[in-house]
Amino acid sequence: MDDLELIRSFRSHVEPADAQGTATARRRLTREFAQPPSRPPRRSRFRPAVAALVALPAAALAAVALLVFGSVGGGGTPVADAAILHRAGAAFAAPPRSIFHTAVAGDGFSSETWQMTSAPYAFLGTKGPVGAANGAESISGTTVQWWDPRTNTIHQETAPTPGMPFDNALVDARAALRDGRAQVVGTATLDGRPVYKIEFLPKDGSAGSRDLVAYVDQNTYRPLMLDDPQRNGRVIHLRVTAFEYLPATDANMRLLSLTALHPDARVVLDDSSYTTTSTNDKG
Amino acid sequence: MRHFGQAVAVERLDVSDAEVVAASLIDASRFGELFDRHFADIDRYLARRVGREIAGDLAAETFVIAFRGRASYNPSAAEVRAWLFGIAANLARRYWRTERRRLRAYARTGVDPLGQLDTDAINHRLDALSAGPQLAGALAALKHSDREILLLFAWADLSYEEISGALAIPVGTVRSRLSRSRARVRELLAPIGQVELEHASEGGSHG
Repeated sequence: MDDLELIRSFRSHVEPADAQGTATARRRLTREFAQPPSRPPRRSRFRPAVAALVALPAAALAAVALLVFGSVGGGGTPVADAAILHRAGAAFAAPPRSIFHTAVAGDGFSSETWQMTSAPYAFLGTKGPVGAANGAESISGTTVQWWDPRTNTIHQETAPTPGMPFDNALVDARAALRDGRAQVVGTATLDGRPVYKIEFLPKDGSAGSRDLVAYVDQNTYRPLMLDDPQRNGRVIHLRVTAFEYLPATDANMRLLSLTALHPDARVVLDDSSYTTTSTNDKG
Repeated sequence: MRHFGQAVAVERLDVSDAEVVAASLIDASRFGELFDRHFADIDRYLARRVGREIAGDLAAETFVIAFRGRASYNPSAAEVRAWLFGIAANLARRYWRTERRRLRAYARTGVDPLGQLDTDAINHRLDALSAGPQLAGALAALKHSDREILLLFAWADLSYEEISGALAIPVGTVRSRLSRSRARVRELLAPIGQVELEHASEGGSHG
């Protein structure tokens, strides 16, 4: 058996799409057939927030019961909305040569990232279930490292794309504000703090209806919570526990390095070694 | 007596994919024929790469993107099937970390996270099954761009030219990356004796 035969045999080891999944995909395509051939952007400027509320599962609503909506619908006059978006954009804007630190938690998991705001946009991120020993990944611009907490091993390889930006919900929101893909859809109160509800339109229209919603503080314009729609239709509510720009000092730059954070970890320099050395790792 | 519906169905089997794309510019519903012809292949390719829970949505999105962009489809650049796989590959690219983690998990634990085996052919695939974890590790070790081309070649059965058209890269680049990635896979699998190095040809079967 040569390498191609082996790889091709690997292909069949996968569960085919079930009838329901295929039918769902077919319906999604069929809905497109009804669209006019050269339609304007897929959403009206102000989507009623009521529609978003209806889409939220009741359980999810209960989980965010601390959120009391003040108004729904458009956030105000176009001029007022523009001012809100302008201020939010300023609050989200990244100072050059700094480190963007974010942390969010929700739905039983948490995520924390640090990323340089200038080239090579090195980042380090970790996410996983709350309370679990989660691995971490970093990209320095030329290399990718992955830290396995179970073996305290750092696996290193060449980055597939130098400086590939890390994408999380906050980075998406920041880019949308910068690119004018944001709209105010209402106000609310979160933990007693008045917030604006801002909806972000995806950069790629093909991404369907995956619209992120941020609840930004009406005084600081910093995000306090995000509604992050998932591909399966669920909406995850993420509490923003950190949103800050750190100066790129030597000490802070260590936050971007797995080898600096885990100086006692074993470093495996390429994936062939990874395959070999981790074969016995059942842990 | 031949049923009218059957006659229509048989007639459409002779219509090429490119003709269906053209016809769908007038009658949008015709695009559904491409879905019927290619969805299963696209879905399976994506499932093998990024996992079942993501694949269905990406496969559906592949066809939505293709439908929306059908007016700009260029039949001289790529066959429709290659065009669809190119869209699917671009969508899967967002999940390269997911793909790599899955492959690594498989390599580490010996348990295929996708799990489903073709039991009818299992006796003919014992070598492949036993080599699965090592192969997963070898694929994870490839650069993402190299792995993408290798899997379009091996799993989607696209030719060099079709991959070139699908990914909009020169055919020479496809050839060199494929050669490099296959050499790397053979190198990583050689210690376990699963690859007949002396018989492994660079050209493959549909290059």
